[in-house]
Amino acid sequence: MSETKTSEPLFSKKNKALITNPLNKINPVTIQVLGICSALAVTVQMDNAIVMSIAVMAVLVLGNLIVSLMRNMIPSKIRIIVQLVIVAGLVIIVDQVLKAYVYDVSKKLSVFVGLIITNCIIMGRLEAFALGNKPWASILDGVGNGFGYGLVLVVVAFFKELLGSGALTIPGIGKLEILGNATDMTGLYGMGYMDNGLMLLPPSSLFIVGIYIWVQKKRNPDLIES
Amino acid sequence: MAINRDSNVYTIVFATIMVIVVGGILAFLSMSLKPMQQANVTNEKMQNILQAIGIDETDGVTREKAGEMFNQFITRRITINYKGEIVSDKTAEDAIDPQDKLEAFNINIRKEYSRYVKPIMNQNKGDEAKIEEALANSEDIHFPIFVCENNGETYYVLSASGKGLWDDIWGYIGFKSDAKTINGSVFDHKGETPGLGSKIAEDWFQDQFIGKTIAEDEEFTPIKVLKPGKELGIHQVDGISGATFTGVGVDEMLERNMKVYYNFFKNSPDFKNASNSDNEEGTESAVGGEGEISTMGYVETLTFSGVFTEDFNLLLQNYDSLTDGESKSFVIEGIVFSAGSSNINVKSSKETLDNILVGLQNTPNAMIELSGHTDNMGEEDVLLKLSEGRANAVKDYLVENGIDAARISAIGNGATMPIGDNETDEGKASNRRTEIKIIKNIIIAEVNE
Repeated sequence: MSETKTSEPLFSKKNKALITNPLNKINPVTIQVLGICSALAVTVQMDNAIVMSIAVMAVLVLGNLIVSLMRNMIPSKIRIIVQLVIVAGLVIIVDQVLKAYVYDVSKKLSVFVGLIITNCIIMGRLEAFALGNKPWASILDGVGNGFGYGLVLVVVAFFKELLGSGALTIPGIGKLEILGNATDMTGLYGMGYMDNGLMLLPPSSLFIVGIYIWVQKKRNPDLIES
Repeated sequence: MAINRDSNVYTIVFATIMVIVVGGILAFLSMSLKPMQQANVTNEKMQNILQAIGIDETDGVTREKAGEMFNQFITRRITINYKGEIVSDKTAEDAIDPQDKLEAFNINIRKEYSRYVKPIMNQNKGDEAKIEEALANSEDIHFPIFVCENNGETYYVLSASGKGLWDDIWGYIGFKSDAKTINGSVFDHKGETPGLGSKIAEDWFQDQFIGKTIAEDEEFTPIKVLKPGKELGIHQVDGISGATFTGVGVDEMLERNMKVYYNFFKNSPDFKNASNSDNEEGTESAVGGEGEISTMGYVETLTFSGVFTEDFNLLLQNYDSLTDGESKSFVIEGIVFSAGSSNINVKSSKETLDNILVGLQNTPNAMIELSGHTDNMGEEDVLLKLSEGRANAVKDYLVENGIDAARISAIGNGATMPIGDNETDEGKASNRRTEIKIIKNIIIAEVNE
């Protein structure tokens, strides 16, 4: 444990890197290969992807914080179980509070809230980072990884929804029919354009994530393994 | 002093404290938030019902206000059973009593579907007639009707529940005063694929139903969900790309439920004036809940003591006086099975079994149906098998001792027809039972002779 310097500034270079690195060089989805399953499943609409990212980030930050605070107390034999209990407890609390105070949001999230427990990013970060680092660094790690996860989800959802339904749903704004309305034959549809049904199905996420990794590695040659 | 974090004692103590703390927090949270969550659910249901007759959020019915507005529009709340008999009938003046299980607003169609309808459908897969018969005989399946008045027009809001691709789907369908033309619909789901099946909850899908009808030439014609892009008739709507199975679920659910309502409205055109006596009778037979008792005719004149052996003998003695088709079920008392198996404990059950045996020997024309029932502790399939095995074990005993197998049918009902409360041990014990139904059937009896 490195408890030498106590006067390290809140946003030192090292701490900033905790937030920025997961966006690119150690992106949880494309590089660490964590949380792939939800990236495939909840990216049919933009708003689902955004809401899911926020929810995952919230749980990740809180989970990281709690585990980090308890890191010197948790018995190593049952640490995975302890982490699981913390995550599950957090998710249930969030779910219950949403149901009571913001019922509409809770309906929108429905199955996602439960899915957060199974999201490997959370357990992965608790185990790999929070167990060995101080609370503040753990919070930043949670924020960074949450953003990194959200970035991929939003990019995937953008292409899936645009090409699959010709629209983008943004939370708070609603559905933007960018390519026109298919039933009224307006916009591009009037010129004979048709939606690509495959884009609505999970396999298309794999293609998009694949292309994403390709572009990412092309731009960052040091990520390529020799 | 440093605590040894690797010691077993520390680990166990830590785990214990953690479980108690987390459990306590969750229990407290759940208790304190429950009333608010419940209110949200109730208000949402009211809002859905109002939406089905076209009173939308834009008309000022927010979820919070739905509770107050509900009684302004809903003038009557009726519950009917599969056969179309009214079992509960309330007007707007009667407050909704949360304890009244038959009150239309309290009917939980989702729960009834998964608990009672689904097992019947699984059990009789593919046999439409059998499914229909079993549904009609079940006293746990109800269909709520909400009669609404808006701008001088009468509307009926009907409910449906079924299964989508992953989990339950349900909906409220508003009908115009002819009870055939759809005025509006609201669908919802528990866990359909977000962005695909979940679109049944979107306006464009629901609005398609407006103006469609469920009748043609005085015959029930279900509404069909087609693959998108086809030409649509008056009984058809567009499905959702990529969500075929959710569409199939909507199809099935609408057909099964709307048929019941259609027949109800068709057969009681003046149901508005349904006399009070009718209602009472309906309520009684539904509340009674003692297996299936066909109540016409001679059986009613007999006085049963409640002791199985006596009642069984009494009915057989009077068998010749019964009219054709009459039947009565008894819960057999005194047959003991080994726990979790269908082996009869012959020693303790011999007296009861022999009494049934003698009764059947003395009344050679009597047909019987044995049905096994269980409590709800276990997997559906296992319970069904167990109950069927037990009914068959009784049948085997009777057949081995000389009763013609053709006179006995044996079925298993698993946990689908409880007579007691599965929440209590007492209720569970009363649900673990074997029933015997004596049926007067002249035709079959003649064939046997």
